[in-house]
Amino acid sequence: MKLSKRIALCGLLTATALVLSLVEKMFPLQAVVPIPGVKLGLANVVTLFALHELGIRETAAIVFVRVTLASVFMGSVTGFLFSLFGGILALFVMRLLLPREGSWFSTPGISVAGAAAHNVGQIGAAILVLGTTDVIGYLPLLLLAAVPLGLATGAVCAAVLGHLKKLPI
Amino acid sequence: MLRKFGLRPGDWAIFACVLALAAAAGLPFLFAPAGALTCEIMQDDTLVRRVVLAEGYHDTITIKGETVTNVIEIDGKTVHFAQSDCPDQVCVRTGTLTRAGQLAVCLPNRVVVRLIGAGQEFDAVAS
Repeated sequence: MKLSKRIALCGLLTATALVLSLVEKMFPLQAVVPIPGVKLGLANVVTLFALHELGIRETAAIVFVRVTLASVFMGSVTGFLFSLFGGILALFVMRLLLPREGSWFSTPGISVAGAAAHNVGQIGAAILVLGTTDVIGYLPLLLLAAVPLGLATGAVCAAVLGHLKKLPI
Repeated sequence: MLRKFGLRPGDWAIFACVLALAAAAGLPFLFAPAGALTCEIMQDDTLVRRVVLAEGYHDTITIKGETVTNVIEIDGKTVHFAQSDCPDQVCVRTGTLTRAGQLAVCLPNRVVVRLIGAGQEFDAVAS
């Protein structure tokens, strides 16, 4: 892929991830599952997709810009650290599993691992910010939610990848 | 249906790892639930009562304000607003507090009931 095309794709994916972050705020998931920090993780679709199509450096840049802008738009500084730790950890875990995609793991399976890593990163940031390990109490519930939510976002990503193979980009 | 979904053998290993991590993170909390819980009852930012909660301990505390009276019940390691004659009843509907960090508030009476765990006294950070 040409450099200019890569840059354009990075911008496009960043914008998409940002929109997805804002859209998932509209789903009142916390009203159904009353755990602080639970969310659909739609932006993870973009991370996984970018890992596929670009590289880890570009994906890390997309995650960083998305998290920064999302926290600017939603006005939450603590949310920024939580999402950044979660996003970066999810990125690394999915990058580790990706070479085995199709043989050992499926796309939804890798997405579940990413979602779980995101939760671990989030809680890690919460421990640093709050200075107490009590917040680990939220982790089991978040991880339980990560399995179905990760499967759902992974299925979306698999569908998107399948369709994009037919497009000449 | 699962086959159509395209799950691979390794996926089950991922699920198992995630669930094992969830269990590992959750077990200490199941076996040592909250440790020593302290219940603080404040009115107008002044401490009315501080009780270290223990199994089998029962107490009913009545707090009279200018217009509103709250009845707070301590039952073992839990606390709840049993009764309030304020119009909104938010404090009563908050339900029973069982874990450190939880709180129930009666705004008309400016009463705050909170549970504090062992060795931590921080205000919850809004996320």
